[in-house]
Amino acid sequence: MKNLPLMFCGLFFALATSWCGLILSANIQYGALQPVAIEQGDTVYPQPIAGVAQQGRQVYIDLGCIYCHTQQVRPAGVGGDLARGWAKRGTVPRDYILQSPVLLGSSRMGPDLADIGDRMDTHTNYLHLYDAQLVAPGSTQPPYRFLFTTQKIGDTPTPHALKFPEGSTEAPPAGYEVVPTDRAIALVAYLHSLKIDYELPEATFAPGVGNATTSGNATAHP
Amino acid sequence: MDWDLHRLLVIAPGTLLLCSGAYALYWAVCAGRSRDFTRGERAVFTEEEPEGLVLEDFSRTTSIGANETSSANALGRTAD
Amino acid sequence: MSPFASLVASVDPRPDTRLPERARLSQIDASLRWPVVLFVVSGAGWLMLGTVLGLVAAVKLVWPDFPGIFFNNLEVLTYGRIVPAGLNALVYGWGNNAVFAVGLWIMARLCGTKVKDLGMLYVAGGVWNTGVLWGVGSILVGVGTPVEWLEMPAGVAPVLAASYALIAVWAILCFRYRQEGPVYVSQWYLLGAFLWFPWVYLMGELMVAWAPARGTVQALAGWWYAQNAFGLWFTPAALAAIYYCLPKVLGRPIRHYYLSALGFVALAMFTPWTGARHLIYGPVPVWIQTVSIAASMALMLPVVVTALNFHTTAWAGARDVWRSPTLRFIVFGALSYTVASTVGAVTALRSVSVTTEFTQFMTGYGAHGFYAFFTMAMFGAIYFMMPRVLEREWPSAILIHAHFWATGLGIGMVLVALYLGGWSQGVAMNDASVPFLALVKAMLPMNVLAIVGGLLVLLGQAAFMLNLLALAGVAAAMELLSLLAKASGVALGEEGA
Repeated sequence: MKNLPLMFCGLFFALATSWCGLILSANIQYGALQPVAIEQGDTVYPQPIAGVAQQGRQVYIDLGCIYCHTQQVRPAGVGGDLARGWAKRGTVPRDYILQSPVLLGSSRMGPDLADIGDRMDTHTNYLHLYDAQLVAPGSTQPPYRFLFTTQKIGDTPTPHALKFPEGSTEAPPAGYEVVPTDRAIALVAYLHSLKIDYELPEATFAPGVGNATTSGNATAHP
Repeated sequence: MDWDLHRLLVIAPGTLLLCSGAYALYWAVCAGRSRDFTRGERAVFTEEEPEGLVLEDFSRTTSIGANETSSANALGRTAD
Repeated sequence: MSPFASLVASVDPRPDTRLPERARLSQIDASLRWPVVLFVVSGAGWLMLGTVLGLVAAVKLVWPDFPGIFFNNLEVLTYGRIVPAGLNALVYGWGNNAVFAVGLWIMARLCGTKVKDLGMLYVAGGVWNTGVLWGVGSILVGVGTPVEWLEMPAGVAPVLAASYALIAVWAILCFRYRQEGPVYVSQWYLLGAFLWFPWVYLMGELMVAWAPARGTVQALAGWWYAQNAFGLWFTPAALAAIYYCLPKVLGRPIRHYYLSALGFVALAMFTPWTGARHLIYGPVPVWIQTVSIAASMALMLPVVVTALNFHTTAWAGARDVWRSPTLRFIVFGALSYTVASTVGAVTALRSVSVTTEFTQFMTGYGAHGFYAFFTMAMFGAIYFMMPRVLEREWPSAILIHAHFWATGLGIGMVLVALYLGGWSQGVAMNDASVPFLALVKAMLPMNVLAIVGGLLVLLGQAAFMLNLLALAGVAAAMELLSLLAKASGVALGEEGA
């Protein structure tokens, strides 16, 4: 075909139909989803996250965590997501309506984090961020030492100061402590806020899957 | 299946696209465009770089490329 | 002549029709000489940077502390920034520059028109590269956007869009004012590519960065963009290059050529519906996933068509293919397109994606399409194009051999490592009895293999870069000397007069 205007229209039409079919239709179907309660009068879910956690979300974004971690859990019977205890149910579109940008991720060099808030222990998480080898030897998580500062211990040790394992080469010299910066505190607050501990009308907990949220489990990853 | 608007937005343009694509192909063949198009298979060849001339050859030269304007370039050979 | 008519005449790219066709081809080549050099050299530079960043990331997967305790306190080198920086350098720095050069040149040649306003191209090329630099730099300091293929901050997009428009307009004008005669399939593919890219890019930026859609509709928009950027911009450009270079060098027309129209129409119709294949079992409606899976299957039609066109033509001239530097790369790319697309169709099936999704397998699939197909085809086209625009041969055949073998073997190793490693990663990940750390450790050998392959690729590209700089450098020096000679000759002439 030689007719430029006709070709222009054809090329545009091919693209526009797909945009309507995939994106516009998705937006119409569920772009207006609102938080909802499973029983009349109960708390609506999902809930927005608190201020510090929002800042932590920004840290998560700027460090590029999405390149190794997903935040989308596949439903029961698909893959090992639920069997690994990564959540009690698969995630659905409504779980993400209050997030912008959504941080689904597409690579799992590390485990899924959609429900990490239910699995992790704060202090272990700080150690893991400082240098993952301390709590998960062989992990490929990068060390984020720049999220911490080493400072002289004042009158009393800072509450959040890291407690290194016995004889660790990473431990600071005597009289010094490693303390998380505001960014690290915010990031961990954000990770704590990542919970799929609520049910929705369209997504209830899978039967028989991990009712006990992993608590006191010192290992960073299941 | 309930016929919500969003499903219509997939089915309608999708069907329209497929049908118009199929019709375009049918029309093209009937209107002789297919014959015109096939003549285009030789459109890559020109007087300078005609059909039948292999344009590059590693083994006969230590360097390759450039136009036939320079007689010193052993550019290629005509096909048998 | 009225002002309007003279304006139209000034953009009319057709060369003097009084001259015989012989002059036209070299006129066209000469008209694009320095813009092509600008695009190819800057593209090659981004290619090297992107590959180095990718290699650093690959090493970090084996040795997370790389490059050492001191450097680790530099945030800018953290894995989560290196990966998107490298990706964007490759896609927008190398990929787009390569398409600008090769696409404009093939379109101009086939249309029999030449580009007149080179000033605009130089400025636009400079602005494009500046924009990419700004974007990649922003990613490294952490002000990027967390959506794959759209990581550059929102402010960069208008800069890139504007400079793109000033470059792409020439491809459209060439087509509009083309000489009489049949239209070749490469012109269709290039017209499609140059028109589709700005539409998908602007829509992607709009729905992800400027006025973000709500919830996972954003993710859909992002993957619609990424899939289309590859399938409706890089893919048609590379296919256009193969359709042009393969028959040209062999001196024989493409076999079963009549099918290529079908291939083009099918590509245009099915590619844009495949976006949601990256969200299989994800938080988007199931029917959208199904539509994308079906479209991914349907994409096998253009793959079969191009396979028939390319592989039968190449097989008939196999000896000549092997002897031609251009065609070694071109045919490598053509074969990779067939294989990569088949991998794409198979992994779109739900039963397969359960294992391959989220793993290194999909990284391998991306590398297969972008490197083994698109990049290798572009290398071939560049080897063909540069001597013709510069009227000068490539300085070293040895470097071309080195380039071919190193990148060919290297990318082969990378693909084997990522596909095999990714597959076992996926199987292990779906087996809840395998502790996560154990599956991470099991990936080590394949990750090391990927690094070795990546090093080979880097070496091959270094050979290419050397050859390119030597060629372009000598040409530029000669041009400068002749300009100086003319200037001093004029001065002498004036003195003498």
